[in-house]
Amino acid sequence: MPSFWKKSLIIRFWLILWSIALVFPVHGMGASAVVSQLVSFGTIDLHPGGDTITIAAAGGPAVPVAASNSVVIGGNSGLITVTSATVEHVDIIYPVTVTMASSPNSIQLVSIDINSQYNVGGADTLGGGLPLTISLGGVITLAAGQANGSYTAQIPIILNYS
Amino acid sequence: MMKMKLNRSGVIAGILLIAFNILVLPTSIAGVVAVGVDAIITSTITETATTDLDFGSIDLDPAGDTVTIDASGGATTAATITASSIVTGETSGLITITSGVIASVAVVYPAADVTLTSGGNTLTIVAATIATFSSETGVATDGINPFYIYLGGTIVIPSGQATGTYSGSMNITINYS
Repeated sequence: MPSFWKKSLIIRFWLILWSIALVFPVHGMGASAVVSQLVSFGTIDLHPGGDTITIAAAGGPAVPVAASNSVVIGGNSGLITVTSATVEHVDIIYPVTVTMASSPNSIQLVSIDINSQYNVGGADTLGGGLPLTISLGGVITLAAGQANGSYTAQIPIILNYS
Repeated sequence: MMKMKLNRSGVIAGILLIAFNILVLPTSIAGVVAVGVDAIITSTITETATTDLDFGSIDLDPAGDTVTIDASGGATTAATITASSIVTGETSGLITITSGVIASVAVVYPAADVTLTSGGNTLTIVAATIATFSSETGVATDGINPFYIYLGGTIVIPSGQATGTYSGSMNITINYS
């Protein structure tokens, strides 16, 4: 084999080997996370003075509760299901604020972290393909006269496996 | 020969690096999950102070009097007195609620006496009597018809109370669930 091609092969081999060494993901390879249930504040017949609606799901599944007793029909906490072949630790990073829109109006979803599960310290997956469930909640504050409508958004949640 | 040594060293180093990664380095992998969120907001609830609570014109007994409007059973235009004052034009108050949904209604009446003023003079509606002589506090709307809250209460007028038109306002909280 010509010296040029030999060198080229050696360089390619090196690159592949080092690439594998640098980026090979050891943990989290077998984990998967799916959204099993979205966060729903239900249908809120708003108290004329405005209201604050909370889904307190830090301890598990919860329903929306109104501070000033607007009429809330339906609604539920969200749910992420994480499965993995082996036991893995997962840290969860919740966003500080999410804007829910009903164009051209919007409301702010806040306090997601303290109203959702495993905010502090994360959790360990169960391994063996068994599901770890993570309940999600938050708070929306509605001003008096908040425009009627269907407000929606996506909550980006980061799962760090280690 | 030199090239072969370097290649072997490289292979060994690569393998060691992989092993190091696997066994020692706290490697992690991150993923982002997007969870949907929704809220449907409606505003079918309305609250209107339809009629003021009015103790009417009181031609006061010289010894003073206690005037009560008892609306616990519904609207009334008659006051009760403990002495012999003459009262005319009195009426219970009325709050009208409408709601497009069926809801339980809890009424929270003032916890403190309500002060009525006429210049520098005052009278008070005794707080406890407002709840006693107004509509029941726990009821329900039917989602169709208006719902009414009737308001009453008691004022104690001492002998020699200055004449005048006394007025004020009170806050009533209405909670739904």
